[in-house]
Amino acid sequence: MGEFARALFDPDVPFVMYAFLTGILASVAFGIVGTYVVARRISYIAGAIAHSVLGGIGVALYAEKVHGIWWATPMLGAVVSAVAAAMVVGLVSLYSSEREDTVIGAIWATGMAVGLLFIARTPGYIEPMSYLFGNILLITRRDLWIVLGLDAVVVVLGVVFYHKFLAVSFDEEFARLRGIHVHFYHLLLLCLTALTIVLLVRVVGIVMVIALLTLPAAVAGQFSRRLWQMMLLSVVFCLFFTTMGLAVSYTHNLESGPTIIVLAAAVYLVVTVALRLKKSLASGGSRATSMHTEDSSVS
Amino acid sequence: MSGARAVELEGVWFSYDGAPVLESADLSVETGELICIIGPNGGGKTTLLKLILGLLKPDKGTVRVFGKGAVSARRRIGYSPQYVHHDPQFPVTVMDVVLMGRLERRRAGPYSREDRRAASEALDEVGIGGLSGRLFNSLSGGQRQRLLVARALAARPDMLLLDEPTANVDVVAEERFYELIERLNERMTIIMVSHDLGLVSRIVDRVVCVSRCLKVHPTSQIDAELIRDMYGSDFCMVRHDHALGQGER
Repeated sequence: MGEFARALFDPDVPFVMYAFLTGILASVAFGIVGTYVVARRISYIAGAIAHSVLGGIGVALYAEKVHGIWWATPMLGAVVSAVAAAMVVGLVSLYSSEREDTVIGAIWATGMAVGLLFIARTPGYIEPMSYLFGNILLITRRDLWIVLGLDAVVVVLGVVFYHKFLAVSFDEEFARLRGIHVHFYHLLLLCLTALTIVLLVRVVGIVMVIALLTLPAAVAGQFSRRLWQMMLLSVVFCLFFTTMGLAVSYTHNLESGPTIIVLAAAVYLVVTVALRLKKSLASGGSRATSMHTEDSSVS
Repeated sequence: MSGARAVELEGVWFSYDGAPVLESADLSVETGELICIIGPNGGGKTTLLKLILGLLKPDKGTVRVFGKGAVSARRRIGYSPQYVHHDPQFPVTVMDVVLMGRLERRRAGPYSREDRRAASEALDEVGIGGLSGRLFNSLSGGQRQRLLVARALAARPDMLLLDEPTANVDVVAEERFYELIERLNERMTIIMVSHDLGLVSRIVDRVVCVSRCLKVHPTSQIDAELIRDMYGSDFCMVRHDHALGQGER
């Protein structure tokens, strides 16, 4: 760990510091949005959005290299494709009679396919693996500012519309009866999810970003009585997973993305099992308790 | 004609994907009335409530609520659904849920002190004021249903629509619940779906039977024949008003 601490402040390897700061900053958005994603059970939509990002990156790289469009950066491509995918899934689920899961699967695979085709046609060697599985060497100083800006958007919207997001997530029908534009909040949430996913694609990659969105919230959910508590705890867990994961991966010369994800998954597993054991020990197999839980799950 | 009618359905037809649920339903509910909707499962009781709330649009016919279209009047209605389909791990407390009744379209940020007071009053009113800090998922079925009624009341509505509010409640609690309904009826119109005629018939003004068609009965006419008629055989809505009374029959 001492090695990692030294590398953090080593001017020769600025990407370590960038990755570290990206992880910290992005954890804020991940904790908040991840909580909504988990509570609303839309992680499969988040998965499709994440994978569509490769399409945007591929198109942007191609446009940049082949047509010399300087502003077509992979980051912009990722943001555009993520938001577009979010809107398509959202609008389909709201207005179309198409099966939602079919559309999600189509976007998932098509995004990857388009990305790989464009990357293959882009001159120069581009390693798709670094987008799929994350590569902290790609993080630049400018990315940090983008993460900071998106953080601000997510925090402000997440706090200002907290009660509306809560009501829409808990009981959409009732929220609509109170005059809330539930479709608007549904789409807004998907867009925030899209932006958040883009934040950490550099660090953990397209394939694994979904785990970092849901696992901290899933762990936090086990200890939370309120949605906002779950958000705060998710932020803390996400911070822990990204910084510890980076430190471990740097120290042992491992890939950063997979290290972070495995750490998060391990904590989730341990916490879930431990709480379950604790519960069954506390109840001591008492019939009354088991009957009570049965009753409340039925009703 | 009178704008004071709480609900006015005229010739309402409704079907789900071609399967008819309601046929030519007429219903008018005066302001201040307490009516009960009964009928077999799948007979269209919840559909009827959702039409009044504007959550469903009729295939044919009109729905007027407080003289306006169903959607524009819905904020004057407090609705308590039969269930909430939610994630059993969703972290919300009783207070969080009841405060949802205070949501406003144009307001963002935290709830006001007034919102919290209205929410607490509503919880006290249904008799679960002591549970405000409890997790929603730790409530029993009956407590949950009372909470959903409290959430509807928190909006301080002019009319309550309750879908099977006593489905998970034991008989003693049910009697107490109907006392609450009677008390609430002094200040608002109430339309309630129930399957238990025995207790309801003592307090309601009229009973509406829904089984694809609508039939309205004064409570004095509820007898075995009626129930057989309703659950047993045909799909038709018969209408017996208080005003027609027994003399006419």
